[in-house]
Amino acid sequence: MSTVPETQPHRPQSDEDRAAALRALLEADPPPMITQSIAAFRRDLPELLQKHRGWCVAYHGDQRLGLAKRETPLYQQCLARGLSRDEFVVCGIDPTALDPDDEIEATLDV
Amino acid sequence: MPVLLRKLPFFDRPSEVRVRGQAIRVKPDQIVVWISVAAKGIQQLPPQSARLPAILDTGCNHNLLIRRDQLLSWTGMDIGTLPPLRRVRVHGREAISLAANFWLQPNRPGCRDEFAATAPFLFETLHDGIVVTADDQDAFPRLPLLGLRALRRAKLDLHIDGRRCRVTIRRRRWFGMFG
Repeated sequence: MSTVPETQPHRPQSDEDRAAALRALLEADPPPMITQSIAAFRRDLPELLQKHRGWCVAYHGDQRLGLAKRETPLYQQCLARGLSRDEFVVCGIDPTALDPDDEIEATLDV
Repeated sequence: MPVLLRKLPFFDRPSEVRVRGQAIRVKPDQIVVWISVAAKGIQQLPPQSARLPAILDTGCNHNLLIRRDQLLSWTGMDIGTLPPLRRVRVHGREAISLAANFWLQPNRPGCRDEFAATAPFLFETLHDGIVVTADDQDAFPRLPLLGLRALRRAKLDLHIDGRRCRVTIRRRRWFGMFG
């Protein structure tokens, strides 16, 4: 049986810390460039589906940075351009991408 | 087709897995796989990356659901280190999707909690990311959930042998992540 290798010891959180962390999670707004990138992708999705269905596309705000068959090389290209991780998004060109009514469900009581 | 999980057992009785010395109960008929979470843009998973258990949940329609406290305590990653993508709702409750990928750890054939020497398989989560829920009183999910969206997008074949209680996941020869 495998165990997770020990890294940094995790200090138990106080109730105050937990509450603060919970607030941080629920109040976390995506960075503006990511929101803008996702909006640009949504606008371009119908066109992208016609020519590049199944591919990946990177956006930095309204600017389309490139297309590739896989996420990782495209992601690395964006980082190589000097962009930080909260300034671009790599999206998958899929008909169901970013459905605004996307409700996540899972098996309850696992 | 390359095999990622080979004869991975699941059990008709309770069992347990251990993470960082903590024993966690696994209920009967739950399929447990081992994954590692990592930032996007990494071609090879660092060898010392933490491994954590996840329940393979075909009722989950996303990539990966994990509680914030488990992400932190099992991997050392906090939500502040991964860019948020968008707010989402899980069973009507607020959560956040973060820009992260995860890797599936191949098992030693016939074993659930021992690993093969082969390289882990990367799930590129793209714009969906992984979903992190708040570690509130409901503590949902109890264990991370690996959902069907990840398997579909990666075009993996899942076979569940109910007679032998074994799971196999294979991948096709790769020509493209989508389409």
